[in-house]
Amino acid sequence: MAGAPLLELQHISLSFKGVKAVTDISFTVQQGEICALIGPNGAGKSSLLNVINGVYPPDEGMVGFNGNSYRKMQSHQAAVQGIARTFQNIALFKGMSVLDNVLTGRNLKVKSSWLEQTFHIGRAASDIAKQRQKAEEVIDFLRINQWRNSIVGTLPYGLQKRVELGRALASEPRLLLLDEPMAGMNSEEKAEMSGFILDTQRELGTTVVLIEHDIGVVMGLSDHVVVLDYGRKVGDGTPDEVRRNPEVIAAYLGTSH
Amino acid sequence: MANNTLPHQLAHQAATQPKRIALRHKHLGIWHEQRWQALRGEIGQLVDILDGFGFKRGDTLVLLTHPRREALLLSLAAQWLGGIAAPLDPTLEEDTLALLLTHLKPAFAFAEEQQQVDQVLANSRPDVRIIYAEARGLSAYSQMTLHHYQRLLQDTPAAARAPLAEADQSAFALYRVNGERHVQVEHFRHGELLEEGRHLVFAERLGRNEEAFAARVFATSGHLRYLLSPWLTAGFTLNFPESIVTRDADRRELGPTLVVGTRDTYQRLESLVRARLPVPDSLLGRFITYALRPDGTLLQRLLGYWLVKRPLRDVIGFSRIRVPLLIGPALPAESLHFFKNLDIHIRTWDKIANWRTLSTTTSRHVPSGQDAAADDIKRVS
Repeated sequence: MAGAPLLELQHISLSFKGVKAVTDISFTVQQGEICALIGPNGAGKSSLLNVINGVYPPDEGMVGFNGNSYRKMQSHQAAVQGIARTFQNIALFKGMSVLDNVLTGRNLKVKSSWLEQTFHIGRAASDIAKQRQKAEEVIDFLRINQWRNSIVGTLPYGLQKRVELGRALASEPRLLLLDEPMAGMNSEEKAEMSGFILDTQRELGTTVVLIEHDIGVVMGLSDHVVVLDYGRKVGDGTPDEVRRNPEVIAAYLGTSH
Repeated sequence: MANNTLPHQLAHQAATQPKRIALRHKHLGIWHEQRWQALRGEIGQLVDILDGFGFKRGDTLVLLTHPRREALLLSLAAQWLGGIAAPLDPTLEEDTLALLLTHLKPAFAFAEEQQQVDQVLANSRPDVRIIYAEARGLSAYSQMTLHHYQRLLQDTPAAARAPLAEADQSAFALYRVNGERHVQVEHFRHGELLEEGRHLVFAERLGRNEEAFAARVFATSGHLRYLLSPWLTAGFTLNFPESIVTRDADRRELGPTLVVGTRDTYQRLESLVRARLPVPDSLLGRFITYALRPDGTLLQRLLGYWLVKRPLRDVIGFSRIRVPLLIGPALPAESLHFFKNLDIHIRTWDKIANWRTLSTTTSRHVPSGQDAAADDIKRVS
């Protein structure tokens, strides 16, 4: 994991109407690692993800991605740069099929113009075939082939989460941000989703930053853990280092919330 | 007859109908076709690959996979060199598979993906040559004897050599563990399989235009006799679903004319149809009863066909079915009657098995040794 980091947060602070969400957060994520953001509810984890992919501009600090530094990155710019994300609450097109939802993740990869697509001329045919092929590769990767044509809203929750991961993977991201990908899942579904996240890292080489409350899952899955508490960073290291950090134990691991 | 073997039959089909479709398989949601000539070419490459690995006459290639075209092609390539294909059902319980693999001690194997590769590695010789289909999860494996099917093909030039198989040689060996934990084997010779296949082709008037559906791995005698052999004999198209979980949807898309199923297959299909039927006492239920009366008027029969039978046959992908075959245990009379009402006349084709017991140990770890060395061979039915 040596070399320049893929993601670098430098002194990020963010507040909403005077309420500090995160304060002076700095950490780096190396290319190809799984980094977990953990902390009690309200610690600022989701806000930080929103800063990384440009939903919120930080009050202070810089976001470095792939060698470039941004004071303020637009969401569209983040997507173009190769940052994709999933949401805490499923944000799929419930009335559309699994395949169509995954295909929406290919929007930025479409090369043909709207005119070519409307009249099915020029690059349109090959473009459609290519996007379909890529979407099908993701469907196969996540083993959701049998639900390819199912309407997403009719699928169980765990499968919908997998489809959402599929839509994010369809954009072929370099950095994947997962906001509580296992929330509301039973242990079997969690194990399955953990397997897919590991496969995403190992087989596709995608760097992953995830928020997760299940400490057992986090410690088993992550290469690197960042602990937040009340908007401040209280721990940053390998799972073992974090597990032994007294400040972390006091703030999070040793207490129930 | 010297050329009465499966590879010779394949070569014959490639020579006489090179441009017709031999195989169709679904991959990433799209059906892909392979013509007899191209199939012959790919098997020729596989023959060279196996030969390069040191596979020779009398050797066994173990196949641990769900139904896949790669497994079928490798089986034929092994037989081309005078070898034996030994397909194992990957859905068997883990300790049963371990017992079979420990007994077989394969030197050559085809494994579908990481799980099957692990099972073969754990129960085989350290120098086992494994060809695998799905590379996922295997990039970190350091074994030099692991080979990816597609990459092997890319690195191997086209080749064509004459088959070395002979009619009285074993083409397939099926292995199982009986209730007393004894390993048993049943061998299928080329000549015998082709004879069975020709018998079915003649009796069911199978031709080149059939579309057969291979949803089960070729690990039962019925599938070898009544699907694989007729495919090579009649030269029709064999279709593979994308995966075991998509087989019903794939069958619907395809509408095969020939299906070889077990009791479980047909009972599952029956439950799919029954799930679509309305409550018998409802208005719709009474209409269906009216329309399906076997002694009905012409109007009843027409309504029954267009409004009931046809849509229900579509549900299970039997819209074009001509030859639905049952192998293994019989279907209950009620199920047979149910399918008959839909104009699906299931025929039973099977033959008494001829299993030979190869070991009498009840231990999980059977001593290694080839079938020929088995000292306690007895016939069971």
